[in-house]
Amino acid sequence: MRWRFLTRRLVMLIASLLVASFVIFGALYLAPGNPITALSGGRALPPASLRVLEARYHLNQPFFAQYWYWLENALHGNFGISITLQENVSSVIAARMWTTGGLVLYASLIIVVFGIGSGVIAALRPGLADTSVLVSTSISAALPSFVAAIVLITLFSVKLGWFPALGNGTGFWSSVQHFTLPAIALAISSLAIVARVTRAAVREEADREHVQTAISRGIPVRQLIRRHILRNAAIPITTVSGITIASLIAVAAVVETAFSLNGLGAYLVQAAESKDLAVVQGISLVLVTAFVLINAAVDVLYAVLDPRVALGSRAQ
Amino acid sequence: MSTVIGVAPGRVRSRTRSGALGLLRSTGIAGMASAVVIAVATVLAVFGPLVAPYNPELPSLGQAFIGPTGGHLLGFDFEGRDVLSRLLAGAQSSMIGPLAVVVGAMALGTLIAVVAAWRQGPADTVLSSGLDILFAFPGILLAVLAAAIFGAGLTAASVALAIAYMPYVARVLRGAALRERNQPYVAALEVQGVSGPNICLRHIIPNMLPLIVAQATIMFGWAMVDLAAISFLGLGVQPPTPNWGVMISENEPGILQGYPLPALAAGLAIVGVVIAFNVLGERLFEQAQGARR
Amino acid sequence: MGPRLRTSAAAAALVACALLAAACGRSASTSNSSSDLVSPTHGLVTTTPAGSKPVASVTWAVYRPVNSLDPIFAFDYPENTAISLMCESLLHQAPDGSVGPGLATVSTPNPTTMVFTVRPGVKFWDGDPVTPADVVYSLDRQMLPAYGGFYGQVFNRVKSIAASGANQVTIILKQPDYWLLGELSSMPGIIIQKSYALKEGKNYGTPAGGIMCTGPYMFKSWTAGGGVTAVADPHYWNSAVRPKTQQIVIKGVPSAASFTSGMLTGAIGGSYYFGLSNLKQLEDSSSVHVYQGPGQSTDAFIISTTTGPLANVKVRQALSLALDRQAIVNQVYDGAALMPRWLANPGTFGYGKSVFTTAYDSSPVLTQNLSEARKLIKQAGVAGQTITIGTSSELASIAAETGAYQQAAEAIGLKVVLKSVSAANYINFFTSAQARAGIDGFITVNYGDYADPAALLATLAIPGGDQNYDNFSNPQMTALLNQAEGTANPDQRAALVAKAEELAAKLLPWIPNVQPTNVLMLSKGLTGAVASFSYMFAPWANSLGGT
Repeated sequence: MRWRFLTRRLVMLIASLLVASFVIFGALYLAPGNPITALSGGRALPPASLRVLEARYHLNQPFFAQYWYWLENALHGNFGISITLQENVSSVIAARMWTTGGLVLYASLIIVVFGIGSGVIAALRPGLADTSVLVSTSISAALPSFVAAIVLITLFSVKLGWFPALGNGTGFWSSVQHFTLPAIALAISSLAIVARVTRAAVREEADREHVQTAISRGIPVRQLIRRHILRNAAIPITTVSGITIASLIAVAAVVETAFSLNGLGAYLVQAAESKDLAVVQGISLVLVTAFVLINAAVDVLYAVLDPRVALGSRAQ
Repeated sequence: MSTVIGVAPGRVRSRTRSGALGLLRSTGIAGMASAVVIAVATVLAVFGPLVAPYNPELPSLGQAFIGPTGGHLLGFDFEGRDVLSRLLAGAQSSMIGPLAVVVGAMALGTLIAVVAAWRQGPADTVLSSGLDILFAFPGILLAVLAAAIFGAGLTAASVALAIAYMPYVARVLRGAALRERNQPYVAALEVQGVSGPNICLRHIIPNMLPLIVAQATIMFGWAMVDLAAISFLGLGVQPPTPNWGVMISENEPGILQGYPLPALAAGLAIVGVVIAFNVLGERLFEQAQGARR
Repeated sequence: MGPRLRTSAAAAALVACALLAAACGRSASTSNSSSDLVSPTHGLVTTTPAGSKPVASVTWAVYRPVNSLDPIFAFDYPENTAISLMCESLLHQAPDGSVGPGLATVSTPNPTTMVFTVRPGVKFWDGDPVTPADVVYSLDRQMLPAYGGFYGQVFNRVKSIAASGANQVTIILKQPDYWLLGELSSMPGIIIQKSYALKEGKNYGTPAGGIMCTGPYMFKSWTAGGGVTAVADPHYWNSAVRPKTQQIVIKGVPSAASFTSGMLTGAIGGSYYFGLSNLKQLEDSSSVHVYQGPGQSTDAFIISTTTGPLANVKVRQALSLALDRQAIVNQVYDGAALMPRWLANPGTFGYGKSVFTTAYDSSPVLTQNLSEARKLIKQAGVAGQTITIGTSSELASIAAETGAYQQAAEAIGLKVVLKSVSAANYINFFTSAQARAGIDGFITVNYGDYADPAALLATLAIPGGDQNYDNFSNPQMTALLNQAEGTANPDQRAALVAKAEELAAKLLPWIPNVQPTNVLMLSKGLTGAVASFSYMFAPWANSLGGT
């Protein structure tokens, strides 16, 4: 039964990617004017450049053939040329991938460590710890990332001077410093959701009959926490963590812009403003693929963890 | 198992209609306070430009970044315009986009959810699978793509977000629609010869109204955040039109110079209204769940 | 968890934010007084002390990423900065604006003949010598319409260019042209290697094709995220110049805020960034050293339409009179700019100085006069009409100055519509008629190719000028400038150009805003970069090194 679920998930994954790539490619035809005007981004290009664009995008061929060529090229990592930079979109992406990747990774770490951590603490230690976690998650849940960004810059950068305000930093340690405030801004609202769900899931597990029985039997609490509570609570916690991490990919664009990081998201926005369609299509495809893959991974993980989906796994 | 819902659907409908105020009262102090905030924001969205004490769009470079002084409660922004006036006038563009997104997403989502629940079978499977596929597009990405194609602006971004939110709405409402579909009164009406669309429109959807309203309220908050983010990125509302998201990005350089007030004031406005929508929406959700039990 | 708790949490958050923001604002009394302004002659430097210690790598910021390294397409700050670092021209512009021998020396046996002799030992990075064929090819490339270069107009009096000896090139003119020498010390005179350019074809000057020049820094790489990287050439032909800085990376930083942050943290080593509203913040910082040199650029409003209210000279004069220029100096330049009298920046008086200065000092400063402006609008009868201004909300100084124009227009009864494009696309206003469609005007910080007021004026005030977007044509102006071009005596030439400037200040083909000084910012620990505007046309990092 697990295999049937996994197969279905794989089919959905491929279907999602195909539809997404179709939308991204087809958007070219939704643009006002003809595809050539859209690809030139409203610039007057010399006829030679126009011919290059026509050949590259196979504009004289039927629509689906064009889509096929574009997709095939994309799968080989060839996304065309950026009109504003006169450079391969794939090099543009490669140069900026690590910034976005690093930022999302850093933010994910914060979400996992502080989100799950505070949720567990809040669930297992009612009273002051619980209340303070609830209050802080209420506040952070309401903070959109760009508002969090300017609050963080005002407080920690300008007033206190603890962190640099903008830019990437050079070298590992300097980059960590430069990425800290952005990662916090990115993580802050997702953190709240993960903490809340963790708290609810752990609470629910802690109240379960078999746990209560184990407590009455005198089994040490720490062992209980590890073996019983966390393991079962892991399912909703992993699910919500995975989903929020996937959503970071889109919001990263906002944080990168606010902190002037040269990541994929920030450049996607600039390319959209400059109407550099090849870049917009290329980066959109990469980001959507990442988003779909992470969501699919979360579903698969869920299937692996949840005994109701998997047959014959451990009895808990 | 309460059979209140199963009996005389008309009674349920009248409860929701005349009980709007009662519903509000039952959301508690937090809910009512949020409703007040929302009401104020709505009034400003309509009358803001008239209420603003100073011209929100006319620059006066010599006064840039001056702090709060007499008559100018929040000081001046980077082009010397009164911040309070820009906040009041900015309510319009900051609220109308989310309204369009919510109306669009809810209308489409409800339609698809009800159709899928009504038809069930293969139609339902196709629609549900389609929705799952649509989940692939995060709202902000779709809005950026739309801006690249159609040019920056509120319309393209709002339409894109409505399309991106719709699968979520459909999924949530589909469950409720299915529950309604399987209620005995529906079978009774079918036997009486009432047509499918008729049942959906006159009975199923009205019974889902508490859930729909709750969902719409929460969604307004998300849409506000997403649209403000898109305007912050420069792809939504264009300067010099006042807009809370744009105010944050255009006054951000001021923060580094030691003048954070214009940007923070706009951020506060967004957060305040979004919290109000979130709190009220959550209360309404609880009411909607409660009404079912 | 009760609703009360959540509400009070939310309220606490809002209050905290409010406290954060409280008491943060400039007080109305602390406006920049005129004592902060520099005068045209005092307090400006053209060079900085040469660096003595070696430095491994310096990141140099420009306002947007470089989009070409081909000198025929270089007409904006990022391209000029990158090309002037690595390439050299026939003649050389010194930091003080004077023109002297560059890759060649020049003699003029008669007013219509120029003979360029390539200096011995001059060679490209690949070791090949610079030959007359390279010179002729480079100049033809600039001149012939087939290449689509920007500087074709500069050669309008040239009859022929040909090799005339083993290391000589002769230019025969149709009429005497005393502007051409200045132009040949700038982008139009950059010499590239013919064989390399032919091999690369259309890719010359792009990331794919690279470049081949003669300068002290050679091209190493060019990436989208990384910028243009140049490394010191150990075999540079001029053994007197040995750069101390091994590598320079030229990076585009469109956000003034992120530029400031980069300079303060040292991530950016130096820049000629201008229009910084927070220049004082950098001046006050101990990690940045700010120099101001004579500027040659003019901050102006380009009229780009032949129809509409701005086609009427009275309306242009009214708009100019309504403009609050002092606010632009204070807010946009944080004091690093002068109030204008002419379109030309007084830093461009590279010859006939006394003639120019006398004429300049007797011209009125363009101060604000709203009542006069309103009178003119009434006479023109355009009250209530709309003008469309092209702008970019991404470029803070452009956005702020556009705001000043909005303010001025509204004050005299004109309505304003803004059309905003991205930072990368702002340059399209200059190159594409399509981009200018429907736009009445846009802000520019523009410059001539060498230290001469006529260099800029000729591009916009006579028919056929490559920045004459509104088809401005005035017989007196055309006659003055044409005559100046053929006048040998520098003082007589200066007198003619001064008259042309006085006329331009009345007729306003462009509306002058302010005259920026040339700002140079260096991270502490670095010194030696050129501090005058000549950085745009000649190598500027030869003395850059550690303190």
